[in-house]
Amino acid sequence: MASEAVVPAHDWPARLSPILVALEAGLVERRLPLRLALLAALSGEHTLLIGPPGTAKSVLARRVHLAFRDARYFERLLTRFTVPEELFGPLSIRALEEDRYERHTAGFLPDATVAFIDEVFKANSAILNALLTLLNEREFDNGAGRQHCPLVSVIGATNAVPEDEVAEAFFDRFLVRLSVGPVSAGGFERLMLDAASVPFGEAGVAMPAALSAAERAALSQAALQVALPDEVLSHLGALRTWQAERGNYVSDRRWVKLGHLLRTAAACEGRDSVSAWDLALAPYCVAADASEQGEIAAWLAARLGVRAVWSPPRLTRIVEAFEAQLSAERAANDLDYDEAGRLRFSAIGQAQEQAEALAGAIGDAKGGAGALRMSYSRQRRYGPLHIGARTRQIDELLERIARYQRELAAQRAALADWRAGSLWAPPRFAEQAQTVLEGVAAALGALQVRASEARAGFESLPRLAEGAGSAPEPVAHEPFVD
Amino acid sequence: MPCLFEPLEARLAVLDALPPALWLGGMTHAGGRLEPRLLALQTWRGLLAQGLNPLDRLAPGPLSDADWPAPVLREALKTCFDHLQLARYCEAHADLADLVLQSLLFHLDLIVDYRDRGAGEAAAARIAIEAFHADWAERCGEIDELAAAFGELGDLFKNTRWDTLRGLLRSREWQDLVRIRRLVERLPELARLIRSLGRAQPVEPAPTDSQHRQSVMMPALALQADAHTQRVPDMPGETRGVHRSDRLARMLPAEAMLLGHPRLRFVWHARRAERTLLCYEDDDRLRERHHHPLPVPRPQPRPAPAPRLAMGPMLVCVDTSGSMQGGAEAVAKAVVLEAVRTAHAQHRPCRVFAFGGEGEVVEMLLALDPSGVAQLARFLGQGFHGGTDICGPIEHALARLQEEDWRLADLLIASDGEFGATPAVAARLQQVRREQGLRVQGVLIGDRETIGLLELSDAIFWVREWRRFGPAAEAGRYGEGGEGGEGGGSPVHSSRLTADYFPGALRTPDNLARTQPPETAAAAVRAGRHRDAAS
Repeated sequence: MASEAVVPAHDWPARLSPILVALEAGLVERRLPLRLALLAALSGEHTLLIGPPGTAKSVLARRVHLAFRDARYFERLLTRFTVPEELFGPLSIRALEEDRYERHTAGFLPDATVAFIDEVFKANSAILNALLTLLNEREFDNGAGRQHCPLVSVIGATNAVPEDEVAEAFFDRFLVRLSVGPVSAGGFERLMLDAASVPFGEAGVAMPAALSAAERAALSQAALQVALPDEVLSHLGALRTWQAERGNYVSDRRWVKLGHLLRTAAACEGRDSVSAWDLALAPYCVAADASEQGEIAAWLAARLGVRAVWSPPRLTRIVEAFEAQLSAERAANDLDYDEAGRLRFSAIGQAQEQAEALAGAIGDAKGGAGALRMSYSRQRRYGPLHIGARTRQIDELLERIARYQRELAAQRAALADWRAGSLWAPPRFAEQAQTVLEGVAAALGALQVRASEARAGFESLPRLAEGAGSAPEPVAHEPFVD
Repeated sequence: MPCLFEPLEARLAVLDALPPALWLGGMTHAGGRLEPRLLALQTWRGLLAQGLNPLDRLAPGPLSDADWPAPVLREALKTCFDHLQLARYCEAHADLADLVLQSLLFHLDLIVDYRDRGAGEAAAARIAIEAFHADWAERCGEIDELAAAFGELGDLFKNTRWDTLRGLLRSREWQDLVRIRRLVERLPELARLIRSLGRAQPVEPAPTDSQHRQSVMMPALALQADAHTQRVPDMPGETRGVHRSDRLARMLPAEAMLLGHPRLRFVWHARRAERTLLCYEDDDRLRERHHHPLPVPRPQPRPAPAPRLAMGPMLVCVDTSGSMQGGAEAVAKAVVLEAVRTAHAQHRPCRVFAFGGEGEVVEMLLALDPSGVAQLARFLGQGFHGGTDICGPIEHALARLQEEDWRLADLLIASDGEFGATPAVAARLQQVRREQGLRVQGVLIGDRETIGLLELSDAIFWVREWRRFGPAAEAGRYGEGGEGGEGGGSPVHSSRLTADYFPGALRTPDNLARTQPPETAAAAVRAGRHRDAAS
């Protein structure tokens, strides 16, 4: 036992992947709930499945149980008339004869490793307190003593979340809350063909070696070593503030448990620190229902910059400024001076405006505004210093864009690493993140092209003639020969 | 704000603080590097708005390591800013700092071009700063001129159309405007009247005076429905679940089984004593709805004791009929100018209706911006011709009064009073006056009160000496060019004409010399000498 715990280098991804694959066999569109439920179990947390009847909720729970070696499984449907005996075992008559008031818990919930409790919100007052204690502290008051329970994870199921005090009491006990719905139209065919061939609740393929208790202990040890970087902490802090602003209270206990869940997720994937992308799991832990989880996921995506394709606004502004300046300098008219001989302050397009205003004032009955007028203009010419100053600024801009691109490349690499190694990544989130980052890369590329084009544009501005403006050389002439 | 690129974008955060007008110049400027330049621009803005010359603080202050403007320029720029007192202008007129900076960016950007055209480094800098100086020397003059005419500058510099303003300031109309401005100074009562227009009277108007309705929060009693469940023991109903209690009648059969066991029956008794027998739980809860009165504030429309807005908008109707030509016209224009000035000084919207003959209503919304000033100058520069149809403008004004923004407006009618409103229009005006608390101030620029103006106005300000303000008042006797010409008003009422018919009535030195003081005259009459003196 001790020797196993000391073994340092568990290759957790290699250990877990085959188990996950085997557990998923035959299930259609249940990848995310199954994996999250297993992750919660590995992290020592309970999962709540919310969904209509017939959506494989109990199958999920049985599959999770299969992942653990020597795990006792307990399953019960709660009704309003469920009595304590059904959950915690019958009263021991022999113990009574010895004046002890105890229950036979063997084979019942206090003795289970993984439990599935259907219709969990139906719990009545006769069993509620004992059940809540069991879930929270993993202990059961049996007679004079407190019995420690080997419980790893309870998977609760309900059709809908009622609004009463029982719901509130239970709700906070389940860290992960998952909505499971019927399979989509696309998955229906597979459902009809595959799912029927899988024996009820049991994996159709041979299970690889399940996780032993020692391995679970080693994993939670490993999870404790995983770092929570500042970046992730700042995201979580912002999420907490945002939730508080929206009036959604999330208990401190839940944040702590979320942190542990993230660490466990990272440990399972063989990483030594939590990645910002792991936060994709957070919505399932801090929000109650699917719509709120969607909002949080959207908020998170926006914060990570992967909600929609965007281009950094301030950087874009600089590129636009240079383009505007270029078009202004191309259109600049050398003869547009005011009466004092100075360049006009807002010269562009002004003559045009004046002409149109004049035509409008006179009454454009004869289409005077459209008629060609003689105009005095000469495209302005620029010298090397002017163009050099502009291209120097654009070179700085290009350097700036390159910095953005380097940051983006780092992010994309991190995302790709995370996706490749992740066992738990919600596929839709990961895919969206990748698509958006590709889009952002394209946007940055476009900015770079625009800046380069502006640079080329400045270089191709009409040039001053060589030596223009300087005093002409004195004409060399032959001295008069008298 | 996404965290992606956040550090990089944060370095440009100052862009958000800068007004868009400075973006183009600030970002593409030829000198310096982008971020220090933008930071410098922001610091300059702040200092200029406080009336401080930014270059005074350059050496030790936050800008000491800024690379814009280049150190070689600073000394000359400082002198230039000091000389023009630009900081003082920026302090007085908030929008000006951006304009100054925009212009400075523009001029300093041209240094490279001057050098391209052959100037040395120092010479190019000098040229650029001189150009900036000259530009702003002129603009400061213009600002002074505008400020003198309008008292404040309002939105005149919002959209930086200096050319429009410059053209305006050189136009004949502007000269007219300045002349009329001087005229206003000679009519202090008129200015005072317009300033006080629309202000609340010291006493609150009687409730009938104003029917301005508003919602007042009044305490009211509302029946608050309050649903709660009440336990009613033994109420027949459904079974709700299982709970622990000692009700034998509802005990679970499993508990009853205990009674049959020799030992377990003690358990049963123990549970019963502790009220922990598993029993069916009756749904003996009665859901009740209580209604109890609760005081709540409720908005109720009621005629409020109308606090008349101290400064509502202004509607000004100006008679531009031909009969106003001359001094009356000048006074009417002065009324318009003063109304616009006052409106802007007090941040009130102002709308002017110029009315002439039938259907000749010109409506102008005179804002203190370049186009508004140009419109005003154009109006003030044109002559008054046409008939007098008061109904058109009053109908327009009444239509405006129905609009939300103008509900609380006051109406000012400047006219020589030679008109009459149709009974229908007068009645509508009366109705609006009654319902909305409209006040109508008349400015009579003529010799006699007329029924037309009297029936429309609440109060009339009478400018009796209007003749003194005509453009040709200095020309002396009426009609060098004959009757109806450039003379100072109608010939019938000229003082000269009075002199023709009543030569002794004028207070000429000659007449005064011949006039006896009253005591002397009385004594002379008593002595019976008046016949002798008269002869």
